[in-house]
Amino acid sequence: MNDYFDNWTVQVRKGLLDLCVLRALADRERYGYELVKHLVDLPGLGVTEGTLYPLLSRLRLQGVVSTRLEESPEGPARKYYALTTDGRTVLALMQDYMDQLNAGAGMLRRRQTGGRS
Amino acid sequence: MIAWTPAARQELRRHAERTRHTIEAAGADPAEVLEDLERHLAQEATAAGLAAMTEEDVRRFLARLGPPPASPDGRADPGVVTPLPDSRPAPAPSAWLAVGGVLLPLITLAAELITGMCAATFLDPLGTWWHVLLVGCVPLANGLALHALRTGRLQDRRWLGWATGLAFGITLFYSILFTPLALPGLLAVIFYGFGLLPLTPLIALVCTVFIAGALRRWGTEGTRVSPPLAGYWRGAALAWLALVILEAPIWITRASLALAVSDDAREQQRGLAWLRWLGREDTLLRECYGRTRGTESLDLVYWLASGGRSVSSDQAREIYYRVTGRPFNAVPAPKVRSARGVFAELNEWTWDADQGGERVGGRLRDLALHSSRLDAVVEPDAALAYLEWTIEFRNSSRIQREARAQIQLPAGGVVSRLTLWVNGEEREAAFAGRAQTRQAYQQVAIRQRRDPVLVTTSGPDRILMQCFPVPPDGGVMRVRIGITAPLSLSSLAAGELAWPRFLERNFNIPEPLRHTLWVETKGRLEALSSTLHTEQPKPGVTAVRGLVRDPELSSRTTLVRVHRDPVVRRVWSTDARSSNAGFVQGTLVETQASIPARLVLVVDGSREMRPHLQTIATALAALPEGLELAVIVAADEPVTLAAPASRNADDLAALRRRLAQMSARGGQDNLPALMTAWDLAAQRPGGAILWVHATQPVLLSSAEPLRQAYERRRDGPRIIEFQVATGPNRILEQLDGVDAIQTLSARENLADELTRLFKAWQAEGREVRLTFEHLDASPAADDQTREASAHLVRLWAAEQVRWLQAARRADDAIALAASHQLVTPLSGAVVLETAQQYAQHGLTPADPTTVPAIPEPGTRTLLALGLAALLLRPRQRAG
Repeated sequence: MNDYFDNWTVQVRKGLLDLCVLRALADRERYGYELVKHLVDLPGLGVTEGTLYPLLSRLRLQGVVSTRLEESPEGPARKYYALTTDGRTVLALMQDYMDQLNAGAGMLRRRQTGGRS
Repeated sequence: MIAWTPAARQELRRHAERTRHTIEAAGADPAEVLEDLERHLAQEATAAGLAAMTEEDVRRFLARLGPPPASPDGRADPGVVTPLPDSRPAPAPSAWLAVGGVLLPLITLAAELITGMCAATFLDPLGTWWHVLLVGCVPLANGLALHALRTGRLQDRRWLGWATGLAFGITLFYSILFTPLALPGLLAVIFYGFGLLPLTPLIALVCTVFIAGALRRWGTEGTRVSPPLAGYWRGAALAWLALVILEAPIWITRASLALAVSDDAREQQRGLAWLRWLGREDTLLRECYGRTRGTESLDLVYWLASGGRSVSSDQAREIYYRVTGRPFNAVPAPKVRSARGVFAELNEWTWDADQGGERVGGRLRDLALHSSRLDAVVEPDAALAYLEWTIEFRNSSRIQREARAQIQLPAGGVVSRLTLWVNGEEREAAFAGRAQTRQAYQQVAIRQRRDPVLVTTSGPDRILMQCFPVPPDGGVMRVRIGITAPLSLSSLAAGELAWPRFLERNFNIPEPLRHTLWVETKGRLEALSSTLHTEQPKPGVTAVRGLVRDPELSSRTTLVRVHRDPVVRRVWSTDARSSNAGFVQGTLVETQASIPARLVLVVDGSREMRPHLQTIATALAALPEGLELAVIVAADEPVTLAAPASRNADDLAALRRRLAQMSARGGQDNLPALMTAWDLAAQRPGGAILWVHATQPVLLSSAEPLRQAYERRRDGPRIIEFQVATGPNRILEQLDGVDAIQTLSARENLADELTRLFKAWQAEGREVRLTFEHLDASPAADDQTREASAHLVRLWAAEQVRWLQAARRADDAIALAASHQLVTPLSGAVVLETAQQYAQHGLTPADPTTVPAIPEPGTRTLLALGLAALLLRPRQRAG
């Protein structure tokens, strides 16, 4: 039973990973190390740092995020990531879809709860 | 910027190669991902405080990064998104680390700060607030590290490395310091369940090491790597540097002190040189007051630094003088112990090692002069005065204390009365042999702990007063010392009255305290400064009074000039106390000042003489022409600055320049120089030694050769001595009873006094002396002759005692001193509490009707009083 649940959570988290990256960049641009640490610390997401750099590279190639390099006095040069216009559109679509999905799942839950009572 | 080793780059490239296919399959750019990874690893290294990236670091960081993304077949790869980790952060450090590394040090620090328990009983681990700050760093550093380990804030690790290193260094130092207490502490914990505090440094050290280990391994779980903790050793080094800066002066002082008391003369000189250069005066002063044996043996660092040699308080006092040139008890006593709160009483456990002895010894913090009153009456015709010094001591400690002081009397003065207040009643002293009175004092004071006071001489014109016990908890003890003294006559028409003063004391004189002075006479008095006021309390009587601070007693400002009728040259008084009763006649004789045939000037080379060397050099210009002069400087070895010779003006000028440029340092032994001077001066009949010196608080060599020289050759050269500052003189103490010593009044400044002395040696110099004669019949009355009080007889008796002592007739001398109630080099005065105590020691207290008082009743007055008493007695009985 636990294996089934674990596989299901992996699928859910894999599906949500792109959305989480775009959400993290929705307010402001972030540099790679900061963005990675921020996402790794998110409870429940269970992502490793090694996974995120290829994902960010793919998102850049897909035109969803843009990057720029900036020298840092505290260490190596920082690579900043920001949403592109397409990225913002994709984020809005993904968010709408997530809201619908949550609403549908919530409706099912309420009916179930209501039937019991 | 992090420097990458070639091997590190190689390792990263190997990783890129291994993951290339996976990254490409995930739709990413392998080259871009490689760059991103390189930047990420560099950031991690910076956060960890690494200076360079090694192959091992790359492996460790990559292991922490986790596996690459999804496989090309699109199936879920467990590596891409890992199963949900345990919701808890990294394994939490054990709770015992928090207890031993944070809580216990905090409790121990607070306990020591509040109670000073350790400082009171063993050693003070928190000597300064800097020590408190350093010790406080231990729980703080360990606490921050434990918090970071729990919350997983890796980016702070570099500073945590420094902090735990600091804690490690501090706990290691204190663990070493407390090693001797660790085993007793452990046994106490095992058998009695307490005694953990001495073990705190060791426990905290172990916890700090574990915490540092946890920090080092943090983030490398599951790997074999164990990278160094950045800043750790540098933090430890910083802690030791701080401790060395705090402790080094103390260690250097103690180690140098151990050298200075070595038997090897070269080591002694080296130790003294180090102490004069780098020695810490406070540490030296503490050693003078005697740290406890326990403290010495428990202080490992001191033990190592001193090579295991211990230094007694007597040795430390000697060294203190040789280093500073000052007596150790000329400055307030240090706070030897620093217990606080409920343990503060333990601070008073300082042992008064000189109690009951013949030395004044160290200052007692809680013993103070409570009041001081000086009353005097002057007889201008007889050129003498009688002074009474009433002194009260107050003891604010919790234990009984002995008050001791060395007192300088007016030149030629002698103690003729001593009283002590017992239960509010004034008791008179018994006068007897010096040893007999001291033995009685020691038995009653020290063994029976009752109320005695003792006065003995302590050198020419010096006495030692000691009384015990001054009651604890604010108790007061009151004594009165009566002194008969001749006036210092500048001519037949005038003289000066000087006050007695403290030379050395073991009690404090609070700043607000003032000596209250009152002197009166039927003649004319004149205050020499505005410090004192002249008034006429009743017709025919003049008085001078004032309130003066203690240092002013030593100054010229408190001298009182006495004007007298120059026609009166002879005075007499009845001697009813001597075995051959009769009359004592005093004659004032004006003579030519005695010019030495050869003058040997001995200059003390001690540090305190620095400001006076130029003054001496200048004053030498006033020496009579043709006088044969030699100059010797008392240094580590006596230096003959000039051999005996008559000098012309040019020679003298060159000699004065050399004297002015002489270096003065530390405290020097003047006895070898005095002995050399004696040899030179004794070569010429009428030779004299002029000894200008600072205080001599320590006898650095034996005075016996000099004493022997005077005993075997009574016409030996006279010593004219001038002490530039108030304080003890152990050399003069040893020469007690030697007639050849003449003290120049220290109330003048050195320049004036020397100039006056040298001018007196010019052709016109005159001096006035009072000479005594014992007669069987009263002198014939004439205009030049007046009757004087019994004080004239006392001064004669004091001179007779000196003569009998020189003639080796000690028993006769003691009998004469006792019958006239005088304190001399051979006799003392002691007040005991009860008649039984007097009887036990074969002593008889002075009859109150025979003691001097102010005003001294004349013979006729006494007869009148006696007659009145006889007449009144029948009436009282009838009543």
